Amino acid sequence: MAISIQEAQWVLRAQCDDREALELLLRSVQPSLRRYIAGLIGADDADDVLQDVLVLVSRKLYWLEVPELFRAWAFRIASRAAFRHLKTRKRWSAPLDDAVLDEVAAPDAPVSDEVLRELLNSPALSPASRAVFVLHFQEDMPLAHVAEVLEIPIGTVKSRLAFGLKALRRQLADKRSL
Amino acid sequence: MANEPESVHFALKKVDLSKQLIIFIIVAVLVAILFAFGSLMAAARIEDAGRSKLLFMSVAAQMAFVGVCAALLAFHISRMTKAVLKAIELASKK
Repeated sequence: MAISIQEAQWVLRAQCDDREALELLLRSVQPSLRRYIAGLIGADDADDVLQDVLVLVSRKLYWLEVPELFRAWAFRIASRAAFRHLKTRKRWSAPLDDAVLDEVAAPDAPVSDEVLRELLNSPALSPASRAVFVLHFQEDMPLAHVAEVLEIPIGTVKSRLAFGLKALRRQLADKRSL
Repeated sequence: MANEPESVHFALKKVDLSKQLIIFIIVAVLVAILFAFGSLMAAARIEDAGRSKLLFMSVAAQMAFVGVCAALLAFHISRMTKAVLKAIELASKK
């Protein structure tokens, strides 16, 4: 998840209290964060959570040591905020059991856009799996970076990916049988 | 993405407000500390049995305060220097 040199410079300037750089930085990262948050919690509440995330990013930016990691760091803040929001709304469709997920094999074949769109909109998909899908397929992050953003082992990322695909297959099979 | 400018604008506004509040609180705390030191020194001028103790305490508190301020300033300057050096390094990569 490489960020541009320009973005890294905005980070450094914003850390030196340059308000214009901070604004440019927030504007550059805002669309990706909104897409990610909307994918996790739905479009209705996405703007409220996004605003909280942008405020947190602005306040904590001073403490970011490596400007090149800005996007991963911002996505981590967004993940925490989105999951916190989901918890307060009690919208977890099913509790995620990591032990069960770790037993599921990782997928070998890449996922098509059509399948991905359907999966991201599927209510059967847990927020944990959806986060992995949005970051990996929508934001084009390698799995290692997804693991860093979500603060989970890479094995768990693969498991959640596989769990999501399994959920989609089950859903498609149910649709066909109807 | 019609709400893009609004969310950024509101976030920046919120941050600016909290910054102003923090600056106000810091100034208020500094003034309160200065007054506290002043009253301590004033009390230490009065000749009585506990005078030397009070004098020692007020000087120690002042030194600790100056030390903490110096450490914070040094930390901030080193962070800013690092940021400037990193920016120069990135600019040379362009």
